[in-house]
Amino acid sequence: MSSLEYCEWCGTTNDVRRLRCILCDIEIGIPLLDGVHGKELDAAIRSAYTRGGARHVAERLADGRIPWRNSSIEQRCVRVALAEQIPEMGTTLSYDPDDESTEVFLGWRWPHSPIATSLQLLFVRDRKRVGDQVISRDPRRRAVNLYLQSVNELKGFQFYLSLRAEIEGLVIRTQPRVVHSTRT
Amino acid sequence: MTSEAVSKYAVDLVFVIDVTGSMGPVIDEVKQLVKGFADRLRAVMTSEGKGLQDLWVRVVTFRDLGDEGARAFAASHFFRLPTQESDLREFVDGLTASGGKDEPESALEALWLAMRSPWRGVLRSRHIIVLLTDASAHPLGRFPYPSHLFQDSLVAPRDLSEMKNQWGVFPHSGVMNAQARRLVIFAPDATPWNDIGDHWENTMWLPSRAGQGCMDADIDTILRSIAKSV
Repeated sequence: MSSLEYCEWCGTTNDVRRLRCILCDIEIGIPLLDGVHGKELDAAIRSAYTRGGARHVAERLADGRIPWRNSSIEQRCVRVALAEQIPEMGTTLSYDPDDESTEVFLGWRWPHSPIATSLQLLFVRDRKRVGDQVISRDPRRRAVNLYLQSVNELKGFQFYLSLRAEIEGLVIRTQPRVVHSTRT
Repeated sequence: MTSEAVSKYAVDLVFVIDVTGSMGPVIDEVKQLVKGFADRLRAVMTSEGKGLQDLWVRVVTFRDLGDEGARAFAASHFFRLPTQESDLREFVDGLTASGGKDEPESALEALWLAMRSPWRGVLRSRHIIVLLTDASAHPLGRFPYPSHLFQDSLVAPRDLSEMKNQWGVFPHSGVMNAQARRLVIFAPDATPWNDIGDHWENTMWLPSRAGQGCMDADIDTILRSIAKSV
């Protein structure tokens, strides 16, 4: 095995033990996605997805650099790319546990990647969905601290979020993920 | 906490491995993978902006319940890495690819065994199942669960729909911690993996070619998939 690996994105050779290219910071082994077409593009998308590069595909699908054909692999890339971004959102629930009439705020940072265009909050009480709210992303704002006016009693409540991307009018979303639970 | 702070996760990882004949190359990869596994996973997670607090690893193997009965399955306990790495390596080095004849295999029963693992309930935990196979799976209910391994067989799912519910369908959390559970599947585009991969929550499916080991599931691919799923 060669001790150097070629980065297709910038032409730099890297030590084979590196995870990302020393120059362009792309994960080593992700094929080039720009300027390829037809079957070559299909193969590149599949390979990128397999090697952990779903975000690169998703960002190109979202901004049109890769044409959207609504294929299953494209949808999977977007869903995985969205799911990968949830951990970097730093979701925080703020309330006063000693105050029964506490005001509840749910805050989060939007991910760095622009593919998430909105977020759906789902409210669950006693394992039943009792409401939801969609918050669109404002590109001028880095974070949101949302006053949850409808939540006047936290006991038994669970909050789920689903990140959403809109491509060519189609909304693709992650499966709902628990962000905080006060359920006992 | 600043916006640049790195969250550290307590990761419980269960490898569910098809050990039938065609999986020899993948089993060799897994044997390589477990050498220095904690350090390597930590490095990949760091490159993803995530920290690894500690790591427990368990291995569940399967063949064909119809051919081999209860011997189709084997399961280790959780090994704490890196301190118990030699014990994990001893278990993995003992794996040999054999049997299975033709597909399908009994992967779903093995997946259930993994779902019922003694996961830790600690802060910022991640309960990750990584399933490696190159075959389709027998439908649940075709063969009875071997009672010595499946202590809670009364609640064990009898079909894929029940299993999906046990995995968790919003807003019901299922048998695992809804916030912690993750499933990473390296499996062919065949029943039931296409259904599971597209419809189960917190699941990532990386399609492989049937009967040819697990595609190009090299060590880096497996490590990256685990790190990204955290």
